[in-house]
Amino acid sequence: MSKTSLLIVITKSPHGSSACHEALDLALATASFEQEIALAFEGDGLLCFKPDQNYAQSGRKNLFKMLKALPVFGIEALYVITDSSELNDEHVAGIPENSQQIRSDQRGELYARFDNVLHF
Amino acid sequence: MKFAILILGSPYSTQAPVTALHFCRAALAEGHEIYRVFLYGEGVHLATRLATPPQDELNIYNDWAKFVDEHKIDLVTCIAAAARRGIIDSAEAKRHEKDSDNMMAAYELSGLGQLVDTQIHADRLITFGS
Repeated sequence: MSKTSLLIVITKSPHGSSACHEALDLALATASFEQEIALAFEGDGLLCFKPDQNYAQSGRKNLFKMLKALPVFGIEALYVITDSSELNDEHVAGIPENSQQIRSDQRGELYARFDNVLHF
Repeated sequence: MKFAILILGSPYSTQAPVTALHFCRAALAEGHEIYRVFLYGEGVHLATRLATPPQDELNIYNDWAKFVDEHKIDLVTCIAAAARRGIIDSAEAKRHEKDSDNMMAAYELSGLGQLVDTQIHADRLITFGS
C-alpha cells in the first residue's frame, strides 16, 4: 500500500461535541493502515490533556484514556500549537512528555511537512 | 486533477454541503475528477433520504443525490459516525434490529479505511466544514 502522511489538528474542546472523539478515531484508523499520522492540539483542543475530567457526566468517551493509548497504536508524533503563555499548570500535567511545542507562527512549517492536514 | 471531498458539516448548521456541491460541479466542469466524497462527523446528516425541506427552499439532500446519480460519484458515509446519528441503511437496520432505515440508496456505508484510501489515491483532499 502506498504511504501518505496526515496531520490531524484538534481545536475543539473534548466535551463540546464529538469532534475530538471522531478525530482520534480517524487517527487510530489511519495508524492501523500503517500510514504516517501525527496529532496537533490547539486552542480548546488542549483541554483534551487536562487530567481527571468527568467524561461519564458529559456522556462522552474518555478521550484522556484514548490519548494515553496512542503509543500502543504507533502514534508518537504529537504537537502542541500554542504560545507558552496560554498553557497553565493543569494542561501541562497531562501533556505527554514526547509532544513538541510549536508556536502559532510556526504552524505553516508544521503543516507543510504533511500530505494532508485535517482540522477537527 | 483527482479531487477527494470530505464533508464534516451538517446541512442546516453549516454551509459545508452546499459549498462542497458547488466545488464538485465546478471541478467536473473544468475537466477534473472526483475520486470520492466522504461524509464524516456531522456531515453524515447529508445522507438521510427522509429530510423534506419546504418546496420553496433549497433541497440540498436531493441536489446531492441527483449529482451523485448523474456523475456516478462514489459517496461513502462513515458507518460509525452515521450509526451514532441515526443514519442507517437497510443492512444496518437489520443488524441493529431497527424498524426502518433512512439512508440514500446510492450512498455507501463503510469504515474510515475508505477515507485513508481516499488520501492515498486522490491528488487533493478538500475539506468542507470542521
